[in-house]
Amino acid sequence: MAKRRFWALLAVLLVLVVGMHSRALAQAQAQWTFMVYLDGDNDLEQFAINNFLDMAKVGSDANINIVVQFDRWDNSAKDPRYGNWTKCYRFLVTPGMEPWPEQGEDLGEVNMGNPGTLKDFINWAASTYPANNYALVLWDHGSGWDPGMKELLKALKLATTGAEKKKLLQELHAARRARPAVKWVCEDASHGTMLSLADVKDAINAAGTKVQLVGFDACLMGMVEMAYEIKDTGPGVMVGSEEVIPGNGWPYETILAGLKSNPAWTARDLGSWTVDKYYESYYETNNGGMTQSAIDLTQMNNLAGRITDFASAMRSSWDSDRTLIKTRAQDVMTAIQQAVINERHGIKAFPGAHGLAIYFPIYGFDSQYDSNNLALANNTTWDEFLFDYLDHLGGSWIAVAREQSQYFEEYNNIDLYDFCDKLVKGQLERLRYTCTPAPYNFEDISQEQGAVKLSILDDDNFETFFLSFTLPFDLAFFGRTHDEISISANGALYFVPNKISFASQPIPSLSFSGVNAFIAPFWDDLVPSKGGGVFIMVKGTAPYRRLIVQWENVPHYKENAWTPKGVTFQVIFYENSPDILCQYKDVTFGDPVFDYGASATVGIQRNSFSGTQYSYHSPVLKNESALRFRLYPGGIVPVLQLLLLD
Amino acid sequence: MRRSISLRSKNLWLVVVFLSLIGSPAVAKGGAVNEKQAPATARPYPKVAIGSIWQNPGAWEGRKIFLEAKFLGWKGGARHPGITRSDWALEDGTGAIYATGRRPPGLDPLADVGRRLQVWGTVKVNPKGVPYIAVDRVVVTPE
Repeated sequence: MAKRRFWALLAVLLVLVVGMHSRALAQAQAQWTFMVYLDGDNDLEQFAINNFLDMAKVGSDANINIVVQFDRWDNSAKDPRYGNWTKCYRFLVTPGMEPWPEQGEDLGEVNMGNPGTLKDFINWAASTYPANNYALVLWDHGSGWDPGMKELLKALKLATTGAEKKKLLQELHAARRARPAVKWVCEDASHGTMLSLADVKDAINAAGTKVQLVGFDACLMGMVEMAYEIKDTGPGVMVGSEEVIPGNGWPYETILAGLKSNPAWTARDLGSWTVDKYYESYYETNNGGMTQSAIDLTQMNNLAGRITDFASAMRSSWDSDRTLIKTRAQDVMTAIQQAVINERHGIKAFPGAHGLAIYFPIYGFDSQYDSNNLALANNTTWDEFLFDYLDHLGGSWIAVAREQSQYFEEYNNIDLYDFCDKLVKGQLERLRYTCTPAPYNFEDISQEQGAVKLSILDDDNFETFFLSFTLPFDLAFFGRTHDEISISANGALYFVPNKISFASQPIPSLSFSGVNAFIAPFWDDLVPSKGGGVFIMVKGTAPYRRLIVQWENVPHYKENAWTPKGVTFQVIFYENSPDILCQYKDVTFGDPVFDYGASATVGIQRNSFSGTQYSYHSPVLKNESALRFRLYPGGIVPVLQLLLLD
Repeated sequence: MRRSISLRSKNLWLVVVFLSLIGSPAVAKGGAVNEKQAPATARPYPKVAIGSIWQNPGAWEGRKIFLEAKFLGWKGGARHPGITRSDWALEDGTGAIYATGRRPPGLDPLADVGRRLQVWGTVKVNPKGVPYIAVDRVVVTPE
């Protein structure tokens, strides 16, 4: 009996002790473990050290664990501080800590661009420093979209022989192997690797630890593609920037001080706080060139659905039902508003930023932006829309909205809300140029000291087919200003670095290699490599300068040869006016098939649906004549209206 | 036959003389300007060596310059000014320097290291005294 009482008492005591111990453990568990995957194994190493020191100004306590996996660079240009180490260490960052190797756990040299490394870090942090909530910050470079493929694809398209194509295909395949990431974060220079968007998703999924917040202290990650990729991995909140970020990145001291003071914060609270502190750190010192947003990932399925509806409407109804497209665009805007928890941006630099960017190229298409590499491409019709856009929508009213939308340093990215907003407002085609005869006063620059003769040849040589120039003053064209202009051998000028066909078309016409908007003083099959020349010069003094581009005695292509005589004409842009003056000194080639504009297009095109044509394949030009293109109804008022709309 | 020098041309020559005094190889050669540069009358961008910027960053601060250099992307080679994490480096044999702003069109900062560039921009110096180039225009030289 006594024995039984003893054992019963012992059992009760054991239960009590275990119960108390469990409660004690539960009470000891931190509220947050803040994990930073600090990839300093590249040219950003010095900023990684700076950020580590910022974290240590706050340091861990009973409520928050600040844990860092810090890999450093092995390079002669590296930052020598704290023992000049090059390997990877894990730290529990305590107040005042410095990143000396002996303070951390030595992992040797690890590959931070391997998703397995990220997974191990998450698991280690969660098991060693368990908490009620986890935040994971990926720290490093964030890339734009793959531009290298574009060059190879362009070359492939231009290749004429089988051997050439085979060689380029081999290069293309090799490049794809070398760059498996369609867009990436966390480059490990020691291993030549990086984490693709899918790698990030896979690593978080494989870790099996529910992370409440994922942050990207890296450039260009505040994108629909990134948010959608990780939406099902657990975190409810993503923090990222649409634009590039400063070297010192997130202000960890103020971010973590807030968390330390408010350990009961939710992921939404922490995400929103991070956005505000980032904004306060940079809106003055960085000239307002900043963006940051916190995204509710639970809203991404809804947003993706609205994107599919929107993209499908643009594909099917771009030329028939604008109302439908505007309705769908409005739905996307509403979905974005529901998804964005907090968003801050520099008002001056990025007035159209609303928190989520999306890939929207206008020159070429990243061949890896497809369903194999991106969940968004797999589950929406956005990528199909992009194909359509580059194929035949590049000159549509949709393109006008695209051109007017907020873009970022990575020009392929636009703010999705702003693009939809531009479409909904639909005010972008009000402006018209009129064309009227003007007094002829040819300013021959071909012999002037300050004129530059261009070596554009002809369309046999892609590289010299056009030249682009940075201009000393902005040119106004349909209410937009441009500081660069491309000059084609074929008597046309435009604002994208590309070529225009030798076969002139009526205005308006569909896009030519991405050239949707152009000025055609005399668009014809001209061959400046065979005679004469093209000259450019700026005359006058600010604010009354004039940009003059002159084709001087340039012959016409004719049956594998060229005409014995050339034409001479010029186009003049004004600093203080959107007017454009075309002057024709001599428009005869000595061949009636081509003379007086018989095979040329003269006019201005805004996009594939609007423009002002003076003539098309009609011999109506006269020697010693001039045409003035004037922005209707006088230029100033419509331009102001458009600027206000922007 | 060239026309006689006009008043505007005289002003231009004053600029040319000034630039040649401050050591501009491109302009010192009689005002000849590479065709890929901006129009001569518009923006004088004297060609400089990167090494000379590092010798005295303060003297170059705020000045427009033209560089012919090799793309280093994100491979380093110079002190990083930290304007953005996407700043990229270039070198010309006399030194390396980071640039910020416009990036070379079509170039991958990791894969396309070594491509030849022409860069027009303004020399700036960050608060820690590190010079860098704020890029106005960059052209990838055809291979």
